[in-house]
Amino acid sequence: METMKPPMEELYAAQLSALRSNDTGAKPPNWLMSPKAVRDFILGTDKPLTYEGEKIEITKKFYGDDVLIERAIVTLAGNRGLMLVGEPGTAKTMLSELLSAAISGTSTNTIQGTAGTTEDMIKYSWNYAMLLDKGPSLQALVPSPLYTGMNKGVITRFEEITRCPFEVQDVLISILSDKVMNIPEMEDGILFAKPGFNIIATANLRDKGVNEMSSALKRRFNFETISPINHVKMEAQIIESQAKMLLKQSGVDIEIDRDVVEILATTFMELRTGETREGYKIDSPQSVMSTAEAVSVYVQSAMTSHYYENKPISLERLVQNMLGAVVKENQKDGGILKTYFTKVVKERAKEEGLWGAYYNEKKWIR
Amino acid sequence: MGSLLQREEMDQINKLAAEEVYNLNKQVVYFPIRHHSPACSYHLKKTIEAYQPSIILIEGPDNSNHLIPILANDQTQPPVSIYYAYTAGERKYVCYFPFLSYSPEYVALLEAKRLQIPAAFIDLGYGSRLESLEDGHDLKKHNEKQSYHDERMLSGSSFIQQLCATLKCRNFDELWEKVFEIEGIRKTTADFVKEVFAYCYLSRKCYDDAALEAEGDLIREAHMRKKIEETKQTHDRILVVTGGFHTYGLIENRSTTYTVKKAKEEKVYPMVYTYQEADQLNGYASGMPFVHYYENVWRALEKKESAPFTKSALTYLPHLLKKLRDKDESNSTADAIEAYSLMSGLAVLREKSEGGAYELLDSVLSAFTKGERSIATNQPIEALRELMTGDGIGQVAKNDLDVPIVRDCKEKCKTHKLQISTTGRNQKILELYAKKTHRQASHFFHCMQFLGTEFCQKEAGPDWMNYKHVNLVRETWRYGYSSYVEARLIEASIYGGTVQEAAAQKLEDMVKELPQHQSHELAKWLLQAIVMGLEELGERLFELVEQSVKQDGHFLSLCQTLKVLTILHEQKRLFGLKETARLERLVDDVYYEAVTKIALQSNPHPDEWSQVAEQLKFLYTISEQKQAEVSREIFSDQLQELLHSDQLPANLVGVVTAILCNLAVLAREEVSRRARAYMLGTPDQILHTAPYLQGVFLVARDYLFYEDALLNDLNQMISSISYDDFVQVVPELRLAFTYFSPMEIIMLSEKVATLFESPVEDVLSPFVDEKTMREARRLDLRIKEEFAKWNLI
Repeated sequence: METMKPPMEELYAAQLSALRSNDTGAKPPNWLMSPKAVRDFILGTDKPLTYEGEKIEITKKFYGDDVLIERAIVTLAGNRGLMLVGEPGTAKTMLSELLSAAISGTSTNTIQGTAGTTEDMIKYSWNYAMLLDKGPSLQALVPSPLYTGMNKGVITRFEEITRCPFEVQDVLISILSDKVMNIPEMEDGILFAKPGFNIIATANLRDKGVNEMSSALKRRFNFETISPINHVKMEAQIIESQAKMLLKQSGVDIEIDRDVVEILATTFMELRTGETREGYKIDSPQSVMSTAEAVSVYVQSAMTSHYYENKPISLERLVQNMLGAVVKENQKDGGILKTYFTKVVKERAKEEGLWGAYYNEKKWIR
Repeated sequence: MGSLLQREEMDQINKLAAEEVYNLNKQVVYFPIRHHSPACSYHLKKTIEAYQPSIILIEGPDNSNHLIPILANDQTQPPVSIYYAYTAGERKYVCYFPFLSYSPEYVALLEAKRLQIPAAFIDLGYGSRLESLEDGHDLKKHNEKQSYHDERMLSGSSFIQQLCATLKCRNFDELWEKVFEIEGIRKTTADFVKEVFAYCYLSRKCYDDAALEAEGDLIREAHMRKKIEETKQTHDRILVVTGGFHTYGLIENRSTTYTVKKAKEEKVYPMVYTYQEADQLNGYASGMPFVHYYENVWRALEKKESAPFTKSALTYLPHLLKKLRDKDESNSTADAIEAYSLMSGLAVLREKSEGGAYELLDSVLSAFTKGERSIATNQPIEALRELMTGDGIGQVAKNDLDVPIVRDCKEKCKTHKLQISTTGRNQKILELYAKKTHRQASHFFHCMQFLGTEFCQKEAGPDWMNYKHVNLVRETWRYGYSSYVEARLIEASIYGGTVQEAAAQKLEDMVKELPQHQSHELAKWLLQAIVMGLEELGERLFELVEQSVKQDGHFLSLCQTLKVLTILHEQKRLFGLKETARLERLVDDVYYEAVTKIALQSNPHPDEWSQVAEQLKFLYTISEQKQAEVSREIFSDQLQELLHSDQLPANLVGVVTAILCNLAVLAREEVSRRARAYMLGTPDQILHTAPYLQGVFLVARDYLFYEDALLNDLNQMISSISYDDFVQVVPELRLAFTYFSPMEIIMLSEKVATLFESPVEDVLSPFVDEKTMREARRLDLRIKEEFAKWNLI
């Protein structure tokens, strides 16, 4: 079936199979791979693996702190859940998808946390027609992703946990410590979690209106903080690979322009950190200048250029789309982008090739 | 490691290691080490057991061989170090050679003692090494803390960086721990030596001869080779323990011609060392980080534990929990259990036989951090790092080389119950007036501070030297012992054998430099000596002050001396002064000397006007306390004579007039009469009004309250003078009125209000309110901007 965004286990099916068949390490119960193979899946290997006579390259999928990945994997093999926190757009979700795809073979067993999430959505609910017909029974029970995770011994992902109301989050407390879910409506209604079950939660502690977690819940998670990448080359590499994949999925088959990616990555990083590569201080916009945002700016610009001008990405489209990404929270952010062009881009335009053309597109920032 | 290299080259290295380096059948066995590595010490012990050497030669300055018995003494407890200091020209060089309980060098010394065989250091002395090198003095920065074990060459090579990336280690230390510590203790000694040698050989190959020569490695190795050759004549089984980086340098056939220039008067002392200073993470390139952690590993190894790293980590988790609970962090035993299980998991994932320091840190980071990582949630990891570094201080056995002043300092600390067995700053509060022992402790602190040891710092308490906070009855000191303090003490040992002696001698040397005729400088040092409790010196200085007072013709200097002597007299009990009669006599003498010079102050330098005024006021207060009528008479005679001078500045006229009126020598009206003379005089004289009033108010503010004439005249003057004159006189006038207290200001306002027949509130409230003022200012700025725009200003 065609999908807009295939899940990780499908996207990297070949790599996963190759890793599984070459995996000699000891596996925690119900894991599809050894912790070492999971690490290799996320961080890549130096040499390609052989699978069914084919050489399969294991690509690096997460850039940043390698040691963090090791800690995250070992946490999942243990008793506590894994909590990924950090600024928006730092690939927390992607990491949690990669981890669950590698460990349990599925990244879709997910609770999507919102302000409207209720306890039913986390534990279980009932098919009322069946309930009236047969009374409380397993047939009438509608399992939640958490229920499924416990039942099958697979990882359950909990996205945006801090968006859920405080009392709803607390449902997890006893489940995480006892690994048991009580279903009082049924006789013998106790669900014991199978080995292999664990929770990867993601939380973004920066957004407004989040619900702070209770310390009881915090105690049941190991926290890993994912920081934004502060390396232009690395960020450019991520933008390039992600944009390539997204464009391919959208049916736009064009080459990625590395110079444009580098300009984009530099602009985003400088605006995010508030410091230019020459070491000057600049203002930072209120909007989150994340790598994910940069990818979406690139993809949008490439698609507009492709459909309307029938050519690969133009700097004109890039600046137009960038404006949309920067000016979200506050109208003043437009001014900050404009000043960035006047001060930083103009200076670089004197010497460096593409920056000149980039500066000429300042006219779009109004 | 092998996969990085051509197999052939690796074979060659291994052959070299087996035949030339670690061949127990040869006359010389070379044991390559990394400084402060428990695994190296572990295998070194095994080697000594297997080889049974007749002598052990160790890489260490050969001018410190006489310290070996002290270091190997049972009473010595690491961390200790050898301290080297020498001076070349104007520059001073110091260097430390630290020993931890698990340093291979230290283990070698202990083993040699146990087997009753000799041990010797064979390397060039620190000073000779710098002297013998062409650019030696540039190599080591002046007075900067240097470690004898500089490992930059070992850990900084490109080979190591490549190796780290391949073995997925974040830095050299993790790599070392993984390959040589955790796995190292599980290998045979021969294999272990082979690998250490190979690794050191390959990192050495990253540097060319020029780099090795410039760093002084070649000359040192040549010196060590010579020493080994000499030993070969007398011993048949020689074990050489050196840094692995030098092992190849010792076995290769290289003829280096070198001449050793001896450093003159290099000082060599055994001294204590601290874990903190030994920790490489604190900025010294001297071996492994987490010194306390590895000490625990070493202890476990000594007890033949099968998993020494796990054992070491386990001892930290409860301590960490306790430390965090003390700081009100909400961490529980469950966190420690989780951390422990994470540690084993990480060790498996990273293919280590057991979790080491980095696994411990990682697991605590994961299990103990609650929330996003930030300064607020960093407590657990910071606390763990502190524990892993340790806060202990070593101990050197009693010996003849033991510097007496250091011993004295430690004894004093014991007497005064000062905590010096751990690093970190402690607080001591002294009740100066209540307890004699506290006064003695205060003397000790002042001496240590005077010697520049950085042992202590006064946080609160009376400051007699600057006459500040003298109403305080307690002194609060913050202090902490470290090898830095000890090193400074050793340097101060040239002054004397005890802390007090040294302080006294240093002070005396400083006093010798002073010109004899400045009695106030001497008096200041006298006070310092007494604050430090140096009685004997105090007596000598007292005599000096007595003599210099006679030679001192300077009014201000004499007054300052008098002030110091008065302080001494007032606080005679606190300072424990015995001969107060002599002090009283001197106070009288100085008073007489100072007072008789008043008449000469008719035309002082403008810079000294205010000082002279202050001192006259001071003499006035002293003369009020004097019982003898005669001294007061001299004082008033001198003042009258001074007042007759035409050149006397207005503020002094004010001071003298006010004093004389107070003494009832002049009529009270004289103050306002003289004021009127200024106010109603020529325009030049009007400007002197303010300084005159300043002088008057300095001594007697009350005049303004009962002399209505003064206020009236002032009012008249202000209303009559021109705008320009007013602007000129107003700042000084304002200054004059700052002497009044808020209470007096209100009283004054009432008087002014009566004068103008208006309510008091009108006088007290500002003429222009703040808002108007700010608006006016804003307007002013706008106008300025506008003018600037039009290029008008």
